[in-house]
Amino acid sequence: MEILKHAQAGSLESNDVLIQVDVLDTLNIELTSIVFDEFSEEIYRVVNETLNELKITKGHILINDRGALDYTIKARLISAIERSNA
Amino acid sequence: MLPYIRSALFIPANNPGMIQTSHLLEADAIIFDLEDAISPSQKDSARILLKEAFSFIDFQDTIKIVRINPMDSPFFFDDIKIVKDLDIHYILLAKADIESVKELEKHLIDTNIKIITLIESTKSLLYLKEILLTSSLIDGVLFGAEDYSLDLKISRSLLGDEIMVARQIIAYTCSALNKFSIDTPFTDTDNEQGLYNDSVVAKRYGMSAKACINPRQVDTVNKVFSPTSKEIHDALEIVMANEEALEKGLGVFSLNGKMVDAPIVNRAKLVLDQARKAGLSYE
Repeated sequence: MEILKHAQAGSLESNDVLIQVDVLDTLNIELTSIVFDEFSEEIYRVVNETLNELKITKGHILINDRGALDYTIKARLISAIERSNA
Repeated sequence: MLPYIRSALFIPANNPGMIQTSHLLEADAIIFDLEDAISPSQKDSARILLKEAFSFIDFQDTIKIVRINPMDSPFFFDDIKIVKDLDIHYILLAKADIESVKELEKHLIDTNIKIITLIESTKSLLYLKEILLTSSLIDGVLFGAEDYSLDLKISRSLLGDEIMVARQIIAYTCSALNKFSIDTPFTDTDNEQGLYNDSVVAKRYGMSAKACINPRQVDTVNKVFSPTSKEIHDALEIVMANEEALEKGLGVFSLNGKMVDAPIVNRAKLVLDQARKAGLSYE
Protein backbone atom coordinates (compact mmCIF):
# COMPACT_ATOMS: atom_id res chain seq x y z
CA MET A 1 0.00 0.00 0.00
CA GLU A 2 1.09 3.61 -0.63
CA ILE A 3 0.00 7.04 0.51
CA LEU A 4 -1.44 8.50 -2.68
CA LYS A 5 -3.03 11.74 -1.47
CA HIS A 6 -3.81 13.77 1.63
CA ALA A 7 -6.22 12.04 3.99
CA GLN A 8 -7.08 12.04 7.67
CA ALA A 9 -8.94 10.02 10.29
CA GLY A 10 -9.85 10.33 13.95
CA SER A 11 -10.63 13.39 16.02
CA LEU A 12 -9.32 15.67 18.72
CA GLU A 13 -11.77 14.29 21.28
CA SER A 14 -10.37 12.87 24.51
CA ASN A 15 -9.07 9.28 24.09
CA ASP A 16 -8.85 9.75 20.32
CA VAL A 17 -6.11 10.80 17.91
CA LEU A 18 -6.24 12.81 14.69
CA ILE A 19 -3.91 11.37 12.08
CA GLN A 20 -3.19 13.08 8.78
CA VAL A 21 -1.16 11.50 6.00
CA ASP A 22 0.41 13.17 2.98
CA VAL A 23 2.55 12.21 0.01
CA LEU A 24 6.32 12.51 0.65
CA ASP A 25 9.40 10.88 -0.89
CA THR A 26 10.73 9.87 2.51
CA LEU A 27 9.09 8.72 5.73
CA ASN A 28 8.47 11.47 8.26
CA ILE A 29 6.48 10.97 11.47
CA GLU A 30 5.49 14.08 13.40
CA LEU A 31 3.95 13.54 16.84
CA THR A 32 2.13 15.85 19.22
CA SER A 33 0.60 14.27 22.30
CA ILE A 34 -0.88 15.30 25.65
CA VAL A 35 1.06 12.37 27.10
CA PHE A 36 4.23 12.84 25.03
CA ASP A 37 6.65 12.55 27.94
CA GLU A 38 5.11 9.33 29.21
CA PHE A 39 4.06 7.53 26.04
CA SER A 40 5.78 8.92 22.93
CA GLU A 41 7.96 5.80 22.59
CA GLU A 42 4.89 3.56 22.73
CA ILE A 43 3.04 5.69 20.20
CA TYR A 44 6.00 5.62 17.79
CA ARG A 45 6.19 1.85 18.24
CA VAL A 46 2.51 1.36 17.35
CA VAL A 47 2.79 3.72 14.37
CA ASN A 48 5.92 2.02 13.02
CA GLU A 49 4.47 -1.47 13.48
CA THR A 50 1.30 -0.46 11.67
CA LEU A 51 3.25 1.14 8.82
CA ASN A 52 5.32 -2.04 8.52
CA GLU A 53 2.16 -4.19 8.41
CA LEU A 54 0.82 -2.00 5.61
CA LYS A 55 4.24 -1.91 3.90
CA ILE A 56 4.29 1.88 3.93
CA THR A 57 7.82 3.22 3.53
CA LYS A 58 7.15 6.78 2.39
CA GLY A 59 4.87 9.60 3.46
CA HIS A 60 4.31 12.36 5.97
CA ILE A 61 2.43 11.14 9.05
CA LEU A 62 1.12 13.91 11.29
CA ILE A 63 -0.22 12.66 14.64
CA ASN A 64 -2.14 14.77 17.13
CA ASP A 65 -2.81 12.49 20.09
CA ARG A 66 -5.39 13.11 22.81
CA GLY A 67 -4.60 10.13 24.99
CA ALA A 68 -5.55 7.37 22.58
CA LEU A 69 -4.84 3.75 23.46
CA ASP A 70 -2.79 1.58 21.08
CA TYR A 71 -5.79 0.14 19.24
CA THR A 72 -7.15 3.60 18.48
CA ILE A 73 -3.82 4.85 17.13
CA LYS A 74 -3.55 1.77 14.92
CA ALA A 75 -7.17 2.04 13.72
CA ARG A 76 -6.94 5.74 12.88
CA LEU A 77 -3.66 5.26 11.00
CA ILE A 78 -5.14 2.40 8.95
CA SER A 79 -8.24 4.49 8.23
CA ALA A 80 -6.20 7.51 7.09
CA ILE A 81 -4.03 5.37 4.81
CA GLU A 82 -7.02 3.51 3.34
CA ARG A 83 -8.69 6.86 2.67
CA SER A 84 -5.57 8.10 0.93
CA ASN A 85 -6.00 5.13 -1.43
CA ALA A 86 -9.72 5.63 -2.02
CA MET B 1 -30.75 -21.10 25.81
CA LEU B 2 -31.36 -17.36 25.67
CA PRO B 3 -28.97 -15.03 27.53
CA TYR B 4 -30.24 -12.97 30.45
CA ILE B 5 -30.54 -9.39 29.23
CA ARG B 6 -32.27 -6.59 31.11
CA SER B 7 -30.41 -3.61 29.66
CA ALA B 8 -28.73 -3.13 26.28
CA LEU B 9 -26.63 0.03 26.00
CA PHE B 10 -25.95 1.67 22.63
CA ILE B 11 -22.34 2.81 22.17
CA PRO B 12 -21.26 4.74 19.05
CA ALA B 13 -18.70 2.54 17.29
CA ASN B 14 -16.50 5.51 16.37
CA ASN B 15 -15.97 6.77 19.92
CA PRO B 16 -12.90 5.15 21.51
CA GLY B 17 -13.50 6.71 24.93
CA MET B 18 -16.94 5.12 25.15
CA ILE B 19 -15.93 1.81 23.57
CA GLN B 20 -13.12 1.13 26.02
CA THR B 21 -15.27 1.76 29.12
CA SER B 22 -18.52 0.29 27.80
CA HIS B 23 -18.23 -3.03 29.62
CA LEU B 24 -17.77 -1.26 32.97
CA LEU B 25 -21.17 0.44 32.88
CA GLU B 26 -23.23 -2.46 34.33
CA ALA B 27 -25.30 -2.98 31.19
CA ASP B 28 -26.05 -6.65 30.52
CA ALA B 29 -25.41 -6.06 26.81
CA ILE B 30 -23.55 -3.48 24.76
CA ILE B 31 -24.73 -2.54 21.28
CA PHE B 32 -21.82 -1.11 19.29
CA ASP B 33 -23.59 1.04 16.74
CA LEU B 34 -22.46 1.29 13.14
CA GLU B 35 -25.79 2.68 11.98
CA ASP B 36 -27.52 5.86 13.15
CA ALA B 37 -24.77 6.98 15.54
CA ILE B 38 -22.21 7.07 12.73
CA SER B 39 -22.30 9.60 9.90
CA PRO B 40 -21.89 8.18 6.38
CA SER B 41 -18.42 9.71 6.03
CA GLN B 42 -17.20 7.92 9.19
CA LYS B 43 -18.56 4.41 8.58
CA ASP B 44 -15.18 3.18 7.33
CA SER B 45 -13.18 4.40 10.33
CA ALA B 46 -15.85 3.14 12.77
CA ARG B 47 -15.57 -0.37 11.33
CA ILE B 48 -11.78 -0.31 11.59
CA LEU B 49 -11.87 1.09 15.13
CA LEU B 50 -14.30 -1.62 16.22
CA LYS B 51 -12.15 -4.35 14.69
CA GLU B 52 -9.02 -3.08 16.46
CA ALA B 53 -10.94 -2.58 19.73
CA PHE B 54 -11.95 -6.24 19.77
CA SER B 55 -8.34 -7.34 19.38
CA PHE B 56 -7.26 -5.09 22.26
CA ILE B 57 -10.04 -4.91 24.87
CA ASP B 58 -11.41 -7.70 27.05
CA PHE B 59 -15.11 -6.90 27.28
CA GLN B 60 -15.43 -9.62 29.93
CA ASP B 61 -18.78 -11.37 30.20
CA THR B 62 -20.91 -8.59 28.72
CA ILE B 63 -23.17 -9.66 25.86
CA LYS B 64 -21.66 -8.02 22.77
CA ILE B 65 -23.89 -6.86 19.94
CA VAL B 66 -23.08 -4.84 16.82
CA ARG B 67 -25.82 -2.95 15.02
CA ILE B 68 -25.12 -2.98 11.29
CA ASN B 69 -26.62 -0.81 8.58
CA PRO B 70 -29.72 -2.05 6.72
CA MET B 71 -29.50 -4.05 3.53
CA ASP B 72 -30.85 -1.17 1.43
CA SER B 73 -27.90 1.02 2.47
CA PRO B 74 -24.49 1.05 0.73
CA PHE B 75 -22.83 -0.09 4.00
CA PHE B 76 -24.52 -3.43 4.68
CA PHE B 77 -22.02 -5.77 3.03
CA ASP B 78 -18.94 -3.82 4.20
CA ASP B 79 -20.30 -4.01 7.76
CA ILE B 80 -20.82 -7.77 7.56
CA LYS B 81 -17.34 -8.32 6.12
CA ILE B 82 -15.75 -6.84 9.27
CA VAL B 83 -18.30 -7.76 11.92
CA LYS B 84 -18.60 -11.48 11.13
CA ASP B 85 -15.00 -12.01 12.30
CA LEU B 86 -15.45 -10.25 15.64
CA ASP B 87 -15.90 -12.10 18.93
CA ILE B 88 -19.50 -10.99 19.40
CA HIS B 89 -22.73 -12.71 20.37
CA TYR B 90 -25.17 -10.93 18.08
CA ILE B 91 -25.61 -8.77 15.02
CA LEU B 92 -28.51 -6.36 15.40
CA LEU B 93 -29.96 -6.04 11.93
CA ALA B 94 -31.44 -2.61 11.24
CA LYS B 95 -34.71 -2.50 9.28
CA ALA B 96 -34.92 -6.28 9.42
CA ASP B 97 -37.21 -8.05 7.00
CA ILE B 98 -37.35 -11.57 5.59
CA GLU B 99 -35.02 -10.81 2.69
CA SER B 100 -32.31 -9.12 4.77
CA VAL B 101 -32.41 -11.84 7.44
CA LYS B 102 -31.92 -14.49 4.75
CA GLU B 103 -28.99 -12.54 3.30
CA LEU B 104 -27.35 -11.99 6.68
CA GLU B 105 -27.79 -15.64 7.64
CA LYS B 106 -25.76 -16.71 4.59
CA HIS B 107 -22.74 -14.79 5.89
CA LEU B 108 -22.93 -16.22 9.42
CA ILE B 109 -22.83 -19.92 8.55
CA ASP B 110 -19.28 -20.46 9.81
CA THR B 111 -19.57 -18.22 12.86
CA ASN B 112 -21.13 -18.40 16.33
CA ILE B 113 -22.89 -15.09 15.81
CA LYS B 114 -26.66 -14.98 16.13
CA ILE B 115 -29.16 -12.35 15.05
CA ILE B 116 -31.36 -9.79 16.76
CA THR B 117 -33.92 -8.22 14.44
CA LEU B 118 -34.61 -4.51 14.75
CA ILE B 119 -38.33 -4.06 14.17
CA GLU B 120 -38.92 -0.45 13.22
CA SER B 121 -41.62 -0.33 10.55
CA THR B 122 -45.31 -1.17 10.36
CA LYS B 123 -44.59 -3.77 7.70
CA SER B 124 -41.97 -5.55 9.79
CA LEU B 125 -44.40 -5.56 12.72
CA LEU B 126 -47.13 -7.02 10.51
CA TYR B 127 -44.79 -9.80 9.35
CA LEU B 128 -43.02 -10.25 12.68
CA LYS B 129 -43.82 -13.94 13.06
CA GLU B 130 -42.67 -14.70 9.51
CA ILE B 131 -39.45 -12.72 10.02
CA LEU B 132 -38.66 -14.55 13.26
CA LEU B 133 -39.31 -17.92 11.63
CA THR B 134 -37.00 -17.08 8.71
CA SER B 135 -33.83 -18.08 10.55
CA SER B 136 -32.98 -20.26 13.52
CA LEU B 137 -30.17 -17.79 14.24
CA ILE B 138 -32.65 -15.20 15.47
CA ASP B 139 -32.74 -15.02 19.28
CA GLY B 140 -34.60 -11.80 19.81
CA VAL B 141 -36.14 -8.53 18.75
CA LEU B 142 -35.33 -4.93 19.49
CA PHE B 143 -38.22 -2.52 19.00
CA GLY B 144 -37.29 0.79 17.36
CA ALA B 145 -40.21 3.04 18.19
CA GLU B 146 -38.88 6.24 16.64
CA ASP B 147 -38.71 4.92 13.06
CA TYR B 148 -41.86 2.88 13.65
CA SER B 149 -43.79 6.02 14.68
CA LEU B 150 -42.42 7.88 11.68
CA ASP B 151 -43.62 5.06 9.43
CA LEU B 152 -47.04 5.15 11.05
CA LYS B 153 -47.04 8.98 10.74
CA ILE B 154 -47.73 9.50 14.43
CA SER B 155 -45.92 11.49 17.10
CA ARG B 156 -44.28 9.99 20.15
CA SER B 157 -45.60 10.95 23.57
CA LEU B 158 -44.28 10.73 27.09
CA LEU B 159 -47.07 8.30 27.98
CA GLY B 160 -46.20 6.02 25.09
CA ASP B 161 -49.76 4.79 24.53
CA GLU B 162 -49.28 5.17 20.76
CA ILE B 163 -46.85 2.24 20.78
CA MET B 164 -48.81 0.03 23.18
CA VAL B 165 -50.07 -2.32 20.47
CA ALA B 166 -46.64 -2.66 18.87
CA ARG B 167 -45.05 -3.47 22.21
CA GLN B 168 -47.69 -6.07 22.98
CA ILE B 169 -47.43 -7.73 19.56
CA ILE B 170 -43.65 -7.93 19.89
CA ALA B 171 -43.81 -9.21 23.48
CA TYR B 172 -46.32 -11.95 22.84
CA THR B 173 -44.80 -13.03 19.51
CA CYS B 174 -41.39 -13.27 21.13
CA SER B 175 -42.80 -15.17 24.09
CA ALA B 176 -44.58 -17.63 21.82
CA LEU B 177 -41.45 -18.23 19.74
CA ASN B 178 -39.02 -18.23 22.72
CA LYS B 179 -37.19 -15.03 21.79
CA PHE B 180 -36.20 -12.10 23.99
CA SER B 181 -37.80 -8.71 23.39
CA ILE B 182 -35.82 -5.54 23.98
CA ASP B 183 -37.92 -2.41 24.30
CA THR B 184 -37.23 0.85 22.49
CA PRO B 185 -34.96 3.34 24.30
CA PHE B 186 -36.43 6.25 26.26
CA THR B 187 -35.01 9.23 24.42
CA ASP B 188 -35.16 11.96 27.09
CA THR B 189 -31.95 11.16 28.93
CA ASP B 190 -32.57 13.84 31.58
CA ASN B 191 -35.99 12.50 32.62
CA GLU B 192 -35.24 9.75 35.13
CA GLN B 193 -38.84 9.42 36.34
CA GLY B 194 -40.03 9.21 32.72
CA LEU B 195 -37.51 6.45 32.06
CA TYR B 196 -38.68 4.55 35.12
CA ASN B 197 -42.37 4.86 34.16
CA ASP B 198 -41.67 3.86 30.55
CA SER B 199 -39.64 0.84 31.68
CA VAL B 200 -42.38 -0.30 34.07
CA VAL B 201 -44.97 -0.09 31.28
CA ALA B 202 -42.75 -2.03 28.87
CA LYS B 203 -42.15 -4.74 31.46
CA ARG B 204 -45.87 -4.95 32.21
CA TYR B 205 -46.58 -5.48 28.51
CA GLY B 206 -44.15 -8.39 28.50
CA MET B 207 -40.97 -6.89 27.06
CA SER B 208 -37.98 -8.68 28.61
CA ALA B 209 -35.42 -5.85 28.45
CA LYS B 210 -34.93 -2.24 27.44
CA ALA B 211 -32.39 -0.48 25.26
CA CYS B 212 -30.47 2.45 26.76
CA ILE B 213 -28.89 5.38 24.94
CA ASN B 214 -27.02 6.81 27.91
CA PRO B 215 -25.04 5.05 30.66
CA ARG B 216 -27.12 6.93 33.24
CA GLN B 217 -30.18 4.94 32.14
CA VAL B 218 -28.70 1.52 32.85
CA ASP B 219 -29.24 1.38 36.62
CA THR B 220 -32.94 2.27 36.41
CA VAL B 221 -33.56 -0.22 33.61
CA ASN B 222 -31.70 -3.00 35.41
CA LYS B 223 -33.73 -2.38 38.56
CA VAL B 224 -37.09 -2.36 36.76
CA PHE B 225 -36.31 -5.53 34.80
CA SER B 226 -35.06 -7.41 37.87
CA PRO B 227 -37.47 -9.08 40.29
CA THR B 228 -38.37 -6.91 43.30
CA SER B 229 -37.49 -8.07 46.83
CA LYS B 230 -41.21 -8.74 47.48
CA GLU B 231 -41.48 -10.83 44.30
CA ILE B 232 -38.41 -12.79 45.36
CA HIS B 233 -39.74 -13.28 48.90
CA ASP B 234 -43.14 -14.47 47.64
CA ALA B 235 -41.51 -16.77 45.06
CA LEU B 236 -39.27 -18.33 47.68
CA GLU B 237 -42.24 -18.94 49.95
CA ILE B 238 -44.15 -20.62 47.11
CA VAL B 239 -41.23 -22.83 46.08
CA MET B 240 -40.59 -23.95 49.67
CA ALA B 241 -44.29 -24.64 50.26
CA ASN B 242 -44.39 -26.57 46.99
CA GLU B 243 -41.55 -28.82 48.15
CA GLU B 244 -43.44 -29.59 51.34
CA ALA B 245 -46.62 -30.27 49.36
CA LEU B 246 -44.78 -32.63 47.02
CA GLU B 247 -43.47 -34.60 50.00
CA LYS B 248 -47.10 -35.00 51.08
CA GLY B 249 -48.08 -36.04 47.56
CA LEU B 250 -50.10 -32.86 46.90
CA GLY B 251 -50.21 -31.32 43.41
CA VAL B 252 -52.22 -28.31 44.53
CA PHE B 253 -51.94 -26.63 47.90
CA SER B 254 -53.04 -23.51 49.77
CA LEU B 255 -50.69 -20.75 50.82
CA ASN B 256 -51.80 -17.63 52.72
CA GLY B 257 -55.38 -18.42 51.79
CA LYS B 258 -54.71 -18.72 48.06
CA MET B 259 -54.63 -21.85 45.91
CA VAL B 260 -51.23 -22.60 44.40
CA ASP B 261 -50.90 -24.87 41.37
CA ALA B 262 -48.24 -25.67 38.76
CA PRO B 263 -48.33 -22.37 36.75
CA ILE B 264 -47.86 -20.33 39.93
CA VAL B 265 -45.01 -22.59 41.08
CA ASN B 266 -43.37 -22.32 37.66
CA ARG B 267 -43.67 -18.54 37.71
CA ALA B 268 -42.10 -18.48 41.19
CA LYS B 269 -39.20 -20.60 39.92
CA LEU B 270 -38.78 -18.18 36.99
CA VAL B 271 -38.60 -15.22 39.40
CA LEU B 272 -35.92 -16.98 41.47
CA ASP B 273 -34.01 -17.84 38.30
CA GLN B 274 -34.12 -14.20 37.21
CA ALA B 275 -33.03 -13.09 40.69
CA ARG B 276 -30.07 -15.46 40.57
CA LYS B 277 -29.06 -14.23 37.11
CA ALA B 278 -29.41 -10.62 38.26
CA GLY B 279 -27.06 -11.39 41.14
CA LEU B 280 -29.72 -10.83 43.79
CA SER B 281 -29.29 -13.04 46.83
CA TYR B 282 -32.35 -14.69 48.32
CA GLU B 283 -31.14 -17.63 50.38
